[in-house]
Amino acid sequence: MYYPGCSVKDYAKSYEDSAIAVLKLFDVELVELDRWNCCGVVYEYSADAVMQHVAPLRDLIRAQEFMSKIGDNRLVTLCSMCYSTLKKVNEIVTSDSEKLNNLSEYMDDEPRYNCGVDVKHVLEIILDDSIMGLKRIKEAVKRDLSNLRIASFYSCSLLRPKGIGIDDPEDPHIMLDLISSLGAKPIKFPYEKRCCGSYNVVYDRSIVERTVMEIVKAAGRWGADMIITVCPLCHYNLNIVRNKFNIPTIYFTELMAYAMGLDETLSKETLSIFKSKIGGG
Amino acid sequence: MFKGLPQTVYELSGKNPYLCIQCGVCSGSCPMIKDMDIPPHQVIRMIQLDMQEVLNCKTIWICASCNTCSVRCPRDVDPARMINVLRILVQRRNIYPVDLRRVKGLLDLPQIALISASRKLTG
Repeated sequence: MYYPGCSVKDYAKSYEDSAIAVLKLFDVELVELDRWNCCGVVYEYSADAVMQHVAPLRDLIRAQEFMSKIGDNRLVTLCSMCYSTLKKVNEIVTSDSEKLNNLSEYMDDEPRYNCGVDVKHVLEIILDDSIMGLKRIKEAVKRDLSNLRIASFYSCSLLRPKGIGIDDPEDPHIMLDLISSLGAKPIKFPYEKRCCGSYNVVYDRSIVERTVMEIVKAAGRWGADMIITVCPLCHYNLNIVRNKFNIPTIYFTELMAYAMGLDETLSKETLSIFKSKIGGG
Repeated sequence: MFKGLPQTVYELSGKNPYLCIQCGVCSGSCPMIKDMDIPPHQVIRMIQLDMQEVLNCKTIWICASCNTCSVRCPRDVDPARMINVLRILVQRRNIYPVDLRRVKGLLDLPQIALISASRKLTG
């Protein structure tokens, strides 16, 4: 099952297009939920929060209904913030039956949630050896990217907190592994797991500008040609300073699609980024 | 168990503020610290001392909940979660620091930024 989320349908459409195309190449189909709503984006930590969990729980109930239709309980997201929120809410209603009871009473127009949905980020699917795995990805690469030096940028919600994140929060490596199996040179730089400033961009742009400046400048110092990320908000923030350092930020699935020759799914803009970095394409 | 602000924060966050030993790892790790008025470890100290004025600080609105402090905290105090709780406490008094209606250029931002910011600022 596939939960898109708001940004992936508009701002980050290229993320969705490239991800679907790449997965299709490996016979993995993302079946979009027939009804979905906003996930709430930010998980609410206070113990007495109920209202804030309604939207994500409603999505999980939608997934539960859809699950029996397609016979698969994995709910895949592209956006790392959706992943984080849905997974945390899934965890809390699974472990705290009192909370689930409260929520179910409040949402009496919906069927009760039976805690059977498994929330996954698309990177977990891509790296899972039984589904795709790095070995098969290596075999599917059609282009030579050996001259391309790529830095990975993880996004907070993919790594933290512990237990929710899909890699070591202090020493992540999954994106580096992915870059090497695509044939490009991975660049590990110290700012890869740093926060980009996130939603501060809305009400105090200067904070984000300063933070992304530090990040992209460091990526340049470590010799990166471009940065790949998993989060639409990191993508937006990091691209604020792309022209200043000539280091664009793209989604990791766009890189995969390019490496595998799926040019028709990529936007002209992305293709021109690759052309300018590799020369000729 | 406790009294005043420490008790409220303990109840809402599920974490004990008195476990903090003021080691400063959170403040040393914080990517937003340059824009904060009070560093995170001092915010926790102010909670311990039941100083209500901590609710007026800028720090709690600058924190982007990136959780870097929380994964590094050696005492599992989870500063990001406590700061989240402080924001909630302010909002429950019907005080909101930013009027989103006055922010310019909203239409140029991606949806994810708008929704997450309004969730953070309005609870």
